Amino acid sequence: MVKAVWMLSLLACLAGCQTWPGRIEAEQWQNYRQNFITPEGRVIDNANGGVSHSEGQGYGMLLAVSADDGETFQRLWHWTQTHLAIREDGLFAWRWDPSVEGGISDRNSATDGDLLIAWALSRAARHFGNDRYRQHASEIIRSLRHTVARETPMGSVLLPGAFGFEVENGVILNPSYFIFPAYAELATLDDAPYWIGLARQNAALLENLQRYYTGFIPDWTLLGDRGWQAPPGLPHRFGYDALRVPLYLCWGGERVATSMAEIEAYWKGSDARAWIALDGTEERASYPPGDAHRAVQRLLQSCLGARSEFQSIISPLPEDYYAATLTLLAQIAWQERFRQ
Amino acid sequence: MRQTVRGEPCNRIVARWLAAVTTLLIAFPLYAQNGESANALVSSGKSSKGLPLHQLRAESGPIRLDGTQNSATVTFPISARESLSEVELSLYVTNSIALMRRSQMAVSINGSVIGQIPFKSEHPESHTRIAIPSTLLSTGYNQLTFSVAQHYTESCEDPAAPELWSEIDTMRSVIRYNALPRTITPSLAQLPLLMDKRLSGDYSLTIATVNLPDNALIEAGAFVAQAAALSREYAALTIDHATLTKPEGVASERRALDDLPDDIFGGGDGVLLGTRDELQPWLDNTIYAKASEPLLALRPYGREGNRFVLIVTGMDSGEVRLAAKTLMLAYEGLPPTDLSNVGEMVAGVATRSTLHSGKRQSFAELGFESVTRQGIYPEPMRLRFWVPADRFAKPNSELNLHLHMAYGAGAAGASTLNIFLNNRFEHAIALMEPVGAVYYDYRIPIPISSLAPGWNDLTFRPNMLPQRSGGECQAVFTNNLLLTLFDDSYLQTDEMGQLVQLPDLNLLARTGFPFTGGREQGGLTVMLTENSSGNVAAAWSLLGKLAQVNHYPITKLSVSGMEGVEGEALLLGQFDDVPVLLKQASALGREGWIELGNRRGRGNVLDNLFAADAAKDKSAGLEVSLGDLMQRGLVVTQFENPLSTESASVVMVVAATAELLRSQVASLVEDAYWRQLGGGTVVYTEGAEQLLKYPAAANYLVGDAGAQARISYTFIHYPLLALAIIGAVILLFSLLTLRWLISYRRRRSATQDF
Repeated sequence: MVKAVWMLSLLACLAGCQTWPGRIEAEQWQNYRQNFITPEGRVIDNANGGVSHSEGQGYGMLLAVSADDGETFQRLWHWTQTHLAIREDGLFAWRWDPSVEGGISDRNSATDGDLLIAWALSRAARHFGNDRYRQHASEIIRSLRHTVARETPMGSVLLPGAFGFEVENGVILNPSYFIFPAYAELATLDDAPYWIGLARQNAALLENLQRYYTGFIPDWTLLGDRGWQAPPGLPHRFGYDALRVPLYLCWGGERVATSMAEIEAYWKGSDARAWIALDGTEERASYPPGDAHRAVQRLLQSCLGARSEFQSIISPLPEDYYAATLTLLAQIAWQERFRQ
Repeated sequence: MRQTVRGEPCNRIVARWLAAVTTLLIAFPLYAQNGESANALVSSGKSSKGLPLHQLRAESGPIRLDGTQNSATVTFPISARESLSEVELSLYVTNSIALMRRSQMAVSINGSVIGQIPFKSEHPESHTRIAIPSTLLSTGYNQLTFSVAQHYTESCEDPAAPELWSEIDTMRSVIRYNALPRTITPSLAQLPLLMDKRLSGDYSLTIATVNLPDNALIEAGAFVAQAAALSREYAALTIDHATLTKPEGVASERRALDDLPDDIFGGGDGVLLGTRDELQPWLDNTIYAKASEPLLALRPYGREGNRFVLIVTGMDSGEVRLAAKTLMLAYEGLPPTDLSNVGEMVAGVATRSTLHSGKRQSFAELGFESVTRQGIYPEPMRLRFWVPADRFAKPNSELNLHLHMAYGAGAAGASTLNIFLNNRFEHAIALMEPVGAVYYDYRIPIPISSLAPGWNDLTFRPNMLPQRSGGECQAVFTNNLLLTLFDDSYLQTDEMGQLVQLPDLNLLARTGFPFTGGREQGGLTVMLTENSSGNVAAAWSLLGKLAQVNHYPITKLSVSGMEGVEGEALLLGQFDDVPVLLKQASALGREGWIELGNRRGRGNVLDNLFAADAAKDKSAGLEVSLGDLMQRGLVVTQFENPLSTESASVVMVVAATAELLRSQVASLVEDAYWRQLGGGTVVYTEGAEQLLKYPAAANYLVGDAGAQARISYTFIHYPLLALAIIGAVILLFSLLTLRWLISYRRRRSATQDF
């Protein structure tokens, strides 16, 4: 009990000791809202046909807290509840497409979206002083643990979604769904030892994963009875999903392994590509890393201790939703990690 | 798995309580990650500051970067008094919409890149915030460099194409930081750094004496004020005076600085000025023992030791004055000890680069070093020199530059070296030789009227274009675009006399004339209507400012009361206490109503009838009541000293009370007001943005120029008089000629008749 309480305090400190919440400038938020959030509270992924997803709603809600915009937060949450909360297990459908009748184009859940939404609700409860948000967050994470929590030979994991990620010989994982700063926050609402343990075990899992993939981290992978394997039916590459791993590691206050320096060094190289295959085919993107990568790279440099300066793009933000979102999240993460 | 529902509420409450407590206990080590921030939390002296980039440049307007490759540097000063944290550059940039995606700006501090901004044609305006790590910053001047690579095409391009540009908004772009005062190192050698211009914001120094100071102490304080002002170069400085009361019953008991009254120095740095016996209660044993001779000592002060007290003392007022004067003359070379007797110091103030009349002076003598510039739009080369305020040159006189320069081969015929004097374009040298050239003694005449009294800036701006700059994939070489200006180039003026018309408060503001420069040989007398704290503080502030604009201290200085003074005089105090003779000589002489400025039918006849347009006050004069004038605020007026036989001046600075004088002079010496000084009389009113200026009712000439120069001067400034005299001479000769002709005709007629 005592040990759990002290660990809890440590986690709470990590979650709350730094500048909190990190700040988004009014100019940035206006830009983001104008480009990516509809008046109804739907976050638009303009690089994917204008669809919306639970992850985007979660990101939008997080950013609204940092922008101190309670009204937009409520609109985002309301749209999420009325359009994505159609599952019976308390989780959210992950994809909404305006061209599909009824909107829902995939009823499956996405754990990263659920985590992000719960995390944003918890932060909003603290920032705006609204206990109802905290209650909603608690309900979501309880559902998460009931639905997607699993034990593996490498410790506890959360499956990427409610169905389709348990295969005959193992589980399919998405390392970018290990949202470490969310774990710290959610530990204050739920079973603290579980979330603390999850954080520790997922960090160790990542180190093991990166060693296996010679410095890179895959977007998707399969943890099977023979170790790490290619995920069936999913891209086996180091790409746009995995680039969030350093973001979350750094933001969550985790010790950023020196192995992450290999990723940073790769991104800096003249032959770096936006994604590369990890299946031995040497297939790779024809274009270099973009704004999304640069945003995370700037934060990673600080976490690795190489540089302590940081560049915030106030205006203009990148034109696509993903890069703009990561640009702002990296800024928030840097402030909460390094700035008083 | 998760705990039972029963335990949850309790755990949650305990967790939150512990989180709150733990936050307090664990927060500090986390903050210590960021070095300076830890100190900032525990000290109450932390302040947040913002420095717009335009304050870091001599030029106004945005920073414009043209061409394919260019850079600009601003200097970010950091005072030795401050420890900076959370330094952040908020940068607003606009780029040409013709730039393609390869274009970008790199921002570096002291050579280390800290940020890169891609230029986008569809979003030409960007705003970026770049955190600058304090590990890359150092005390002194830090170079913040903006380097651009700009392109409009993937294929061959003209590196000087006009659409290749970007601009930094220097008004909105700001460096923000938190500043925490550092603990003072008690070293006299550090004293100039402790007050230098890099210390941003308002700075004031309080000189404390035991009881009101006598004339000798006021003189000593004037030297201290000037030393402090010169340390700050051009940055504003307010000098204040505070009175110490010696505690009773402590004849043999010595205390320490901590026993000074809490607010004696107004929360800032201070000076204790007085004899050893006067200052005894506050001198420690070491200082007391060594103060048997003139002494300077520096001690940290305040709870955190981030302020200082400078002690200027000796056995009597003469020794105190000597210690203060040595401080003023040696402030750039004080010893690296906490205290020193002045006999151990070597006095000498660096001279400024002064342009002498008719003398050939090399650029090296004026502080210039040979320099080579490279590229299409390289940084200009600058030469700065001082022109004495009382120089008078005849019309068509010239300042001649004789340049020794060289430029490289391959420059296009349109390349030039443009020469500016005080930001006005004066001359261009075409760099036409395709094989390059070396010029010796390349003479460039500049009208001497382009010189200004005080500091002058001579700027050489190369614009060098490569011969091949675009077309069908031609290689563009810019490495050969080289220009060197050698320091054995020289300049020389035609002979100039010493003659200037006064009053001219603008000349006082720019150069300190007539209290500075050559005329200082006779000395300056400071006259105070009474030795009150307010009057003394005002005098010190003003003298400090005059030393700053002169870039040199006023060394021959004495203080007197209202007894008559024949030479240059600076009079401060309350108008009611000014002697009648001086009142009448000033523009404020009349009882009741005062005339300010010229009014047709009164005042200077020459000005009314013959003055060139520029000398006439188009708004005419006006009359105001003395009472109204005094109530408004501070009055500064200059007039000819009625007691002088050699055209000396009195500058009178008066206010209704000593306290008003103190506060309003403190405002007047701020740059925003000081540079508005002009005319013969100026009125400062609290809260007003502009000073009220009035021309003089009577002008007078000062200088050693001969009769010819005086005649030339008169004709230049009164051209109608010249015309009238010439007309009168012509008329006279005509009449004489007519008379002679009539006489001749009569004689001739008489002869013929005979």
